[in-house]
Amino acid sequence: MAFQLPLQLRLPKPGASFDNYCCQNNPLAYPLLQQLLKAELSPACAYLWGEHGVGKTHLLQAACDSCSRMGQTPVYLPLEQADMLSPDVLDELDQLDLVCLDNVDQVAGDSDWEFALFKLFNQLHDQAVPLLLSASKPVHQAAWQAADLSSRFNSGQHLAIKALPSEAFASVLEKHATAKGLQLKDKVSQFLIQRSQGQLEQLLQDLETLDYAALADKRRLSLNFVKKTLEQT
Amino acid sequence: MTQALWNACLKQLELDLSAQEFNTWIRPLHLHHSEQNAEQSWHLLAPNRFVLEWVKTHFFQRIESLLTELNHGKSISLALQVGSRPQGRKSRHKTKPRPSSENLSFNFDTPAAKAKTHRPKQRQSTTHFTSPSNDVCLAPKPNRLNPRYESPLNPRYTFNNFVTGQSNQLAHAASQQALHHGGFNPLFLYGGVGLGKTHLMHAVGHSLEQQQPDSRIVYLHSERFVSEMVKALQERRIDEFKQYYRSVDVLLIDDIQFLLGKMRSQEEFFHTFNALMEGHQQIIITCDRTPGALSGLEERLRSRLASGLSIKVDAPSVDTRVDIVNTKAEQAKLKLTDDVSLFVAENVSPNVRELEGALHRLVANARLMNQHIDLNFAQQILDDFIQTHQEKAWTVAEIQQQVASYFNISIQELLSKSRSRQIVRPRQIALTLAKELTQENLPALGRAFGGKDRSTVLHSCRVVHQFQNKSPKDYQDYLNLMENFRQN
Repeated sequence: MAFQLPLQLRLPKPGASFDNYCCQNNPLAYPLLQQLLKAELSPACAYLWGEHGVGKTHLLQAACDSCSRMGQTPVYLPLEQADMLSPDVLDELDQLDLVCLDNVDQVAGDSDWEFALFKLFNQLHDQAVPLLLSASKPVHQAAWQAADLSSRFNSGQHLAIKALPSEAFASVLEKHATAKGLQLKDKVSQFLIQRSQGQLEQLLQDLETLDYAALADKRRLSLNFVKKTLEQT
Repeated sequence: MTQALWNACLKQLELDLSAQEFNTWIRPLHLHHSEQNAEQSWHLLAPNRFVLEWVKTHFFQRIESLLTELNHGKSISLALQVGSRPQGRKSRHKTKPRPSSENLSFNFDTPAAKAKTHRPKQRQSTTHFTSPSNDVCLAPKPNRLNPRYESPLNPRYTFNNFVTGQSNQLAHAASQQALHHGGFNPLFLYGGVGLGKTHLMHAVGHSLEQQQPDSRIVYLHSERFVSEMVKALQERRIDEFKQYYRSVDVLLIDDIQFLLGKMRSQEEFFHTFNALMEGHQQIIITCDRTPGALSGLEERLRSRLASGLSIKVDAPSVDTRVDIVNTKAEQAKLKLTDDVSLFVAENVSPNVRELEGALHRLVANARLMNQHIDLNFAQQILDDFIQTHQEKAWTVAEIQQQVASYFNISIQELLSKSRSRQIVRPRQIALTLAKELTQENLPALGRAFGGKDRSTVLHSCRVVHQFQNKSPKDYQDYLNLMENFRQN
């Protein structure tokens, strides 16, 4: 059955922001990024590392959101998609107010990208433009070829981002559901958390699917409806 | 009004697009509106050509129609171009301003014009960068050079806060000598990554700036020299570019190794170099290796670079590192206990930049957590950093890659059967480094180098260690590479 597209009826989807970041396990992330955004760090570079799904992307996008709210211009580049991009995308970014490079270690070992990053780092450093990086590993464990580059990444702040404990999933789910105007019964929340198997990304994706389906079908989120909908995905 | 319109447009686009699309392609855009003689023009500025093309293909129509809709149906004719905000952001470095450059001119012939060429360490506030090849909007080209031909001097890099030790005292003395007429020219500082070469270069720049406030001191990375030259060529402003560099009083070029293999840039740099040397202007250059080891650099340029004084900056000893840690801590208004300073100095890399990075981490964490820095705290905060340093193990492929890059040859050449000296030497050095830095056995190493047998591997190692007496230049290459691997 085709969905009726309900786009115009939906509440604005809550983008990543510091307001909806659950800082449990990572109490230093928010203050560190605030310092970065307020240009209180020298060098103005922070490197966040941690496994996939621990919330690094959320933090980078939240930093962009915060920067925009201050009337400044940020950019976010997901370098896991480097195949679709070109190192040229890094040109002239020192004109902006914040540069966020997600999964930067995905381009380690690629000399063109490394050179472009080296150039960018120097330009941003010269202009004191904040640079926020995320990676799955600490700098020295990634396959960087250019010692000049890895040493520069190591000159700034480093923070290991840890996964959110599963006990905190319920409050995150509630926060996101409320922002979407959804009310979840306890048994629905429990089902969703169990289904996510400790993956916050999965949990939020399921919520997005349910939000869409509930509007398209004009249904409330009963457990049956939730199970049926998610079975189809 | 423009900002309100753009904000409303952003709000709608944020709703329509995925968070990633929005943050990557829409957030870096800026809407600029101008009105001249009752004629309105709207420009959507993208930071670079790549973003421009992507936005043009994927989002431009949607943005234009959205803006028209939000403008109460009054059509908006939008032009997409590469550029920055008219009230461009300024450098956040807290530096004393240099004389104004609002009237920056590139007529260098008169003393007055010469005085005007100082630029502040702040971004020009009125310059839009437009690419002439931009086929979307033909905005008027700025009638002056790209003001980013140079980089600001870093105020933190002065002689006062440079810590000297055996490893760098010669370089320090020669840099101070460069402040006086009759100093060594060019002064060529070389050594591994993050050992303070750039610091010394900036320190000379600052001191000269104080001594001779009217002199034009230009500092930049060599890769910027290359990219600005390419831009000047594209924008047919190469004569201005040449004139600019050939008329400075002091030229400080960082990491000259990035000129390797770039023949057109080398040619231009060679002429700039000659012009400055003839005028007795001071040149200071940093590099990761000796001038003689710059394979891929034209012979005549190599010999010019070696014509002054070349000094190696070595990795600092533990004692010097302790001094560095304490000095940097004092700058951060922090007093470290002896055991903490020693722990950082002994366990973090000999690379000063990383040493400083470790200290930044300690300071920031202590402030954020409101904790006192003792040995336990330092061990806890730097745990990952230190482990990762100790865990670094090189693979044969990484060694081959770095050696090939150092000698400016391809991997294929390195692994070929060529008997040419330019290939054999790098291959022998790579084999020796692979034997010394990896756990691979001799047959495996031989296989990884294009099917050599174990006796060839052993022979290479012997030959490389005999370089110490027979061929000091080749031995220096081996030492430079080994140092790079150990520091990384």
